Amino acid sequence: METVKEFIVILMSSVSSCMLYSKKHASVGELTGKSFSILDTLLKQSGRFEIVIVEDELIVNKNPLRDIGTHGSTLVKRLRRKGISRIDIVQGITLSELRQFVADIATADKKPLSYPHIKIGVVDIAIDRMTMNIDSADGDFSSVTAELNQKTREGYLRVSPFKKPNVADFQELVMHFIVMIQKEIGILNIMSPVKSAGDSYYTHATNVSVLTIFQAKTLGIQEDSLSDIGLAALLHDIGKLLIPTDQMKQEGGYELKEEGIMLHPLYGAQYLARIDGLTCLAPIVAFEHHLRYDGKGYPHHAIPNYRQHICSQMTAISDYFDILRNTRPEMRALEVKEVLSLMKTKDEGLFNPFLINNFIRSIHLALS
Amino acid sequence: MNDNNKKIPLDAKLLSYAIIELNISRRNVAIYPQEHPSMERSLMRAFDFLKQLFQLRPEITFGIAKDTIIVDEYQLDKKNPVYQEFALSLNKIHIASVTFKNGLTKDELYQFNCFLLEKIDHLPVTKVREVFKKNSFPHVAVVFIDYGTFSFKTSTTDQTTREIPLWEKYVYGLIKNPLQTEDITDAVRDIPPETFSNLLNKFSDAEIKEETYDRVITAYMRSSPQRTFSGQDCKRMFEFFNRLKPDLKKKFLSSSIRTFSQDKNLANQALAEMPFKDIIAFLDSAIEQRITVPQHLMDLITSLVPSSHGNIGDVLLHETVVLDDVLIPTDSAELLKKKNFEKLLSDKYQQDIQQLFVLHTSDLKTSQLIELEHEFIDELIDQRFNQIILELLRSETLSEIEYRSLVNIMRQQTEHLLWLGQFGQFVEILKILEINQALHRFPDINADALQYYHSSDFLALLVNSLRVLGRQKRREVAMICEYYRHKLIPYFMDALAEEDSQVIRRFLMDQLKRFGDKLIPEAMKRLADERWFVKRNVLYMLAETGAKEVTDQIKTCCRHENPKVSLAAMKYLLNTGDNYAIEMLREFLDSKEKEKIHQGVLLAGSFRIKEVVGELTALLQKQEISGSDIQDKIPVVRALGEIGDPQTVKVLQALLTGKSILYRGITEQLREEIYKTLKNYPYESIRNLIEEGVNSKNEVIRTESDSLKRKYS
Repeated sequence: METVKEFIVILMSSVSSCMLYSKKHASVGELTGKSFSILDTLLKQSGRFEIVIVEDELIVNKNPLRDIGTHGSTLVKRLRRKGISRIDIVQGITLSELRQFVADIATADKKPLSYPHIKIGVVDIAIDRMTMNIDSADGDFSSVTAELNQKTREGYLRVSPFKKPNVADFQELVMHFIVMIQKEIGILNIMSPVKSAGDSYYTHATNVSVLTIFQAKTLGIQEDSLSDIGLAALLHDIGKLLIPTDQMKQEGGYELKEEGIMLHPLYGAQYLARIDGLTCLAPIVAFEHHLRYDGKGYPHHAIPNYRQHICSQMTAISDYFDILRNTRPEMRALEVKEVLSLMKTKDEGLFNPFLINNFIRSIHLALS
Repeated sequence: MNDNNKKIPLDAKLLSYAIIELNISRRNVAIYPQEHPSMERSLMRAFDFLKQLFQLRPEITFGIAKDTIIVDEYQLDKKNPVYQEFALSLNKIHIASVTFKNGLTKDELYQFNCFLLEKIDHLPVTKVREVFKKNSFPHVAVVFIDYGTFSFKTSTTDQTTREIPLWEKYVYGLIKNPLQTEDITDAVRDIPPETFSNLLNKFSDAEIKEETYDRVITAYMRSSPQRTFSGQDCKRMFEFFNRLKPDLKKKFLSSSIRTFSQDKNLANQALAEMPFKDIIAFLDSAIEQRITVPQHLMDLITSLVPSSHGNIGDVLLHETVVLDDVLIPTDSAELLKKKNFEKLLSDKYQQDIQQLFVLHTSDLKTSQLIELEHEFIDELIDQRFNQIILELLRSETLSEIEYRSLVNIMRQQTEHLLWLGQFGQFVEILKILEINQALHRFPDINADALQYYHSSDFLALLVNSLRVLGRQKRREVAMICEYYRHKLIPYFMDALAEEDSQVIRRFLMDQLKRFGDKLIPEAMKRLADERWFVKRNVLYMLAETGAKEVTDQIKTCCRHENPKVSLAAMKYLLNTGDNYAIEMLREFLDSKEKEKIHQGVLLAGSFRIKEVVGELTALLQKQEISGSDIQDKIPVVRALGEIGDPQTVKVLQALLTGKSILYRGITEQLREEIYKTLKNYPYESIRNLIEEGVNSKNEVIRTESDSLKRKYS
């Protein structure tokens, strides 16, 4: 299995290299050559090499391949986007064939061609009677169900350093948001008001998720990325639930001391970074959502001229908007137009001007 | 499973308890010894529940679909964390189903739990199967996942194709192959309404048999001594309706209204527990679908209307603004009305907004948007992710477990980082580990990671990636070399020995040069290599260091059969000022081998060896037999020009005055070369040549002479 893992790592590295540089770059040639030579050894052993993707798992030669790091899941994601869930490679494959395959996988908008010794396709379960074709999901999602919301809420609030969350539940919720936004259900109708202090974290999280997906959608960001963006935004404040009790204003409460607030991006990121199968955007956004576009903000970081990822920039906008839109004991909730006005004019350097303009315009269009 | 068994439905509660206890006992095995009371208790409880199940059936099979347990055709609550945990623990070791048979003993159950906890998840299925067989469990049968059943549809790629969960297939069976209603009740209730409706929406009205509608509705509404149809079930059913496409929604609504009409008690009991607005919504849907609601059902619903609600229309109006059953304040709701909203906007703000509206959607497709999309490239996200991990490794909020886990993530990522030429991030990893080590933060973890980063396999990988991608990242490569110091020398030497590309060889030698004297011991080892090019490269490297302590070993290479090696050795010796090289050079110049003479001439010129001027002039004075003999004198003229010894001038003059009828062209070229190489001779010795050259008919000679004359005037 070690050789198989090595092959997958090198193959993914060559795809990544091809993506970052070009297919003619020396590193692509080197890596493809290296993966070809490992593949050759593997093919000599068994005559054929199969890669199957079942859900988020990579199964190679009928054995699941585990612990292959983020590049393994990136390969799964990349193949999925191409609609490939199975690859069979047989003896006789040439280096140029593998090179072409790598280049095709690396190219975002290109569907892989057919190759003489690489068969690509989809996986089905060989139970004839039960086989059915599933069309793309087309339910009538008028609102997020109370049940799903409740489950996700419980899962969210039960988060602890010793318990991993059920990512699938969060993903399901985000998919609902995406479908609702695609169906052009009013953005404010999807968002929820905060009912109680204990409820505030979760409700705020879902609102930020909705608003961030909405922004991404209005910006024309590829559909493929929406789920990851929504999920990352949903989990942006998860660090608040992981802060030690000594940084809470009162035991069992939700209010954080100032120090706790400043640390929540770190707690969130370090928690999310360790969850297998979760999009890498989640820890990125958790870490960066309180950094500002002008490079200020918190948490403290060692990298000079650090710039937030675009997803963090969008989440920061949604975060700000939702916080100001909600009622809190000491102040009244600001109205949409007041919040937008504040965001646009009062704090230069807080947001990416391009994104904030898009946000304001889109919210207006959605409301009009 | 035989048909008789299938007819006896399992007690869901019992089944649930059995799984919970099986999971607890499985976990306890990892914590307590077999004789520990807690272990004993949990094993006993799991065993008792299984025994009760065996009274219903002689064997119980749990199908495992990754994180889902399937019993018979029923998928157990997918979101129950205990079921999930139990399923995943089996899935981890490739188990597709496990069957417990009557006759199972407590000890066997304990042993099976031990098997589940063995560290075998990294093994392939075949090996896990072998481990299972060795254990021998007479009353536990296990089916391992057969990945061969995943059939292959070639030459198709489909963005919408996805793995079909087993229960989806079950629902398919429900529609196409009628099952007993009793069998499906719990399963239908257990399927989340949105999922169930999604599945049904894939079928057209015509595909679904009429009785299916009633069967599903009966399944939702059926009451039994164990379970009553509650307001909550009713709510789930309404949710299910609301997600159906119109044709199916109508059919299911009709069926439910029919059932409600037939069973007033059921309707009364369920609807009384429902929030009023849900009942209204249900009624609304029925009316919208043009379904006639029987009068007695209408009366019942009217009787349930609480008087405080007054006007239904107001509630519904609010609902368009209400979120999650909670009314937002009236003034907020009012604000969302366009008229009021615009009224409250400041002039300045309105101007800003107007400007934004002027932009067309197509304007968004600018370079900014392309840049945005670029940020979602997986590789760049990975890169940023690594950056965050590095930031986290610096933070003081990490526990030991978290720190270890993040260090492991970076370790996993390192090979990929190197192959993408992200050497900067790699340097950061080393820096952080070293700093944390110095600060005594998690020293064992740092030591372990650093050991990996200093291992032989890793260093070979590192240098290999530097070989391919290092030329573009010289600053980072320098930092890496500085960090590892002489540890990298053997790996660079290996890479150098195997490298075909001259450009990369040069790069590798540049890196080796950084190590100065430190590379001598390794270089001397490599000098014994049989391959001529390895010797040559080593000699080049040694020549760069200028080390004198190894000259004796180098001298032996001066007589190597390959002139490239001997020449490199001579270069080394010349660099160190060893006279042995001059002896060797003379031998070269006196040689009968043209190649050796040629190399010797080049070397004499480039090192300006005065001691061999005699040998060089002798070469010039040689009788020419062919044009090529004249041609061979050109490099000699150049070498002598580099040395600039005045004794040479006489020979040069002789060459200039000599005549050749046969080889006029090449002779003229030789003369031109003499003038081109005069600049290093003392002026006095070449003054006459310059005077003659100024008047020459040859333009090159004239130009060169003019230039020299100007220089010395």
